[in-house]
Amino acid sequence: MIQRSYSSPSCTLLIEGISTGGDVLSILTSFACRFSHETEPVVGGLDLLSALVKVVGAYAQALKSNTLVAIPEKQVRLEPEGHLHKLSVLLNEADAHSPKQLQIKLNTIQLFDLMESLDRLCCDPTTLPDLKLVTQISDYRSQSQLNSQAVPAVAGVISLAIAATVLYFIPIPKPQPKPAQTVPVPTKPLPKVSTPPTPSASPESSPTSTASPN
Amino acid sequence: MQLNISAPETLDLHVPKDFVRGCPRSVRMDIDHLLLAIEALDLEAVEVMLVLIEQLGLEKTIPSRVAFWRLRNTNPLRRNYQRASLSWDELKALVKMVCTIAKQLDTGLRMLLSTHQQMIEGKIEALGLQQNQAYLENYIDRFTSLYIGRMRSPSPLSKEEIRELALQLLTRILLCSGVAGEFRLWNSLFDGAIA
Repeated sequence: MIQRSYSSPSCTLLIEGISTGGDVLSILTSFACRFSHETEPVVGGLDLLSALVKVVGAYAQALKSNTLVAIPEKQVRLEPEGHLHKLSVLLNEADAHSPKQLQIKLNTIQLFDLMESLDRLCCDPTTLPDLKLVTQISDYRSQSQLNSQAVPAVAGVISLAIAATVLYFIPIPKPQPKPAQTVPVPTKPLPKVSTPPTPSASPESSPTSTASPN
Repeated sequence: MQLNISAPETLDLHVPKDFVRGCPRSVRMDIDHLLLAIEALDLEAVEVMLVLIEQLGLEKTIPSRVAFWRLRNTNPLRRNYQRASLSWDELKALVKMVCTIAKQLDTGLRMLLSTHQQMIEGKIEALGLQQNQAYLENYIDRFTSLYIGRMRSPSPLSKEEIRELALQLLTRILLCSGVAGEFRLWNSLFDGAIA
């Protein structure tokens, strides 16, 4: 039996498992994730741990790039709530009699600590080497974006249909009979008034201002 | 653009396939904003970065202070933007540097972020943490003046938007201070970028 712990200031992840050879912890028996502000730990098996790695990894990545993701995972959900992040974990899923929903509110620093503990676990080659870091979120984002991208297109088609129906009932305006065209009166050229060229006005008085030098 | 991933000193970060036309605009803006926020967090950060270049073995990519300055000026919003782009190696070097510095700034970042949280919750007065609030405001002021001083004028963002950016960058820097910070930052840069 091997125990490994990955701790960050507000979150401690304890991994318990068996080694099949050498130093590598390859079979997980259980894990416990404890938060410093929450009495109840998240306890579970490999399924829950990999779901947690996936959801937290993708969520943190999305937080950084300022996008929202929808991760299709039943057991673990993480969603923004105001300026906090709400982590909901379904515990004891195998035991159908007493499924328990655990809700933990995390602020950004606590979320980072959770991510950091899980990242350390993923980056540790001697513990569960099959657990991989989740940094690619394009698969998750495309799903949530497709819905929002479809809305304008559908709305456009619907509004075109409505407009077409409404306009169908408006009668086509009949062409108005044109009023009899008045014959254009040819414009009469103005009589040419020939003005005799006026003799150039003789300068009446040339300015004879004698500057008197003082 | 030649990809030089096999070189030993480069990180094991691979460029997404679609980006054949080089480093996108938004990535250059993003990485420069992160560096600017680091500078606002720690006034000595630029000197630390120049020392880090040697420690991380990045002299080949960033040989001098001027070369570093030129890399930061590939941000299209910069006043001294020269229409230059970043090579992938240069981007990797900057990512490595941001993450290394982020690890060192961890304590301060936590303090500022929890202060911001307390401000939102209206707990500053009750807890008597006005001093911490002043630190946060100082950071935002420094970021604002750096932003206005370095970016083209008139400023692309309003005062309110710069403040918002400064706070958002705090979270981003915290998230790249972890063990997998380089991978997370690298992937987040390309997320939503247009090739």
